[in-house]
Amino acid sequence: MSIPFLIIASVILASAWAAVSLRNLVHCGLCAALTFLATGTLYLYLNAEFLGLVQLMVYVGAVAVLILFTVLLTRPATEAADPRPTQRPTFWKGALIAITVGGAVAAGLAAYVAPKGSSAPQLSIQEIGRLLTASPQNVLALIIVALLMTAALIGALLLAAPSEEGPKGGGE
Amino acid sequence: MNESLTLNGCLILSALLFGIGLIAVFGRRSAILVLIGIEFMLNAAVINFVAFWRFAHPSSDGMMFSIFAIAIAAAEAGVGLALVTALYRHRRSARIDEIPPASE
Repeated sequence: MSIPFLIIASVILASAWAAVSLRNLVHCGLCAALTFLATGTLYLYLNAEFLGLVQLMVYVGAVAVLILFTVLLTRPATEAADPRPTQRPTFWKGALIAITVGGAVAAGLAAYVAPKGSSAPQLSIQEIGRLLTASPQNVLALIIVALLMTAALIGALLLAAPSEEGPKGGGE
Repeated sequence: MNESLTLNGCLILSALLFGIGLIAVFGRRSAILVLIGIEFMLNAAVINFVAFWRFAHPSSDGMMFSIFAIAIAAAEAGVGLALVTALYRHRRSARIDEIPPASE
């Protein structure tokens, strides 16, 4: 295993663990952003340049900022929540489930032997664009994703918009 | 360069990241952290797609799956966080154990 991969993997795992175990939700959001950043670096290391840049734009640029916005918008509630997450029994029950599932998956995957003799594939952005628009099933998936995005955007707006009557004076 | 070792490393890394996401989903009470855990699990799946594309099956299908998975994960994050803000506005709380049952 090469040194860069080990560095990237340890950054991913350490920041992901920090994101789920820290107390302050702002710190959790920032650690999650670091996890997404390191994952994008891993994609770049694995020759998937387009996917690495998409990961940077979508996750670090949009999702992490959205998470931080939501944390700050719900600040008074999150301030008092979760006194010390790692000292509550539910956290360790969740950890037990996760260790069982993750260990089973890792044990199965560690036994996988890759087929030999495959060199690093090259897929340029031009080819990805051609693939997305040329083959019929990709075009169909692209249109469905576009519809899904539109529906998700409208749905998120409807959910987050303050209601007209505002039962508890919401949406200030 | 021992390539299969790095493939196994990627797969183990994604399994561990999936496990960390599961910890957040099952163990934390903040709805935002549950969403972060779901994002981690989706990221683990995409790491698997990219690792298999890079080392084992260099057709373009893995890349297409990864792109669509990221797009759907982004839509899911937007709707989920909008739900959290709506929940906070109605209940003054963003904790999943304080959500009333849907039948009420």
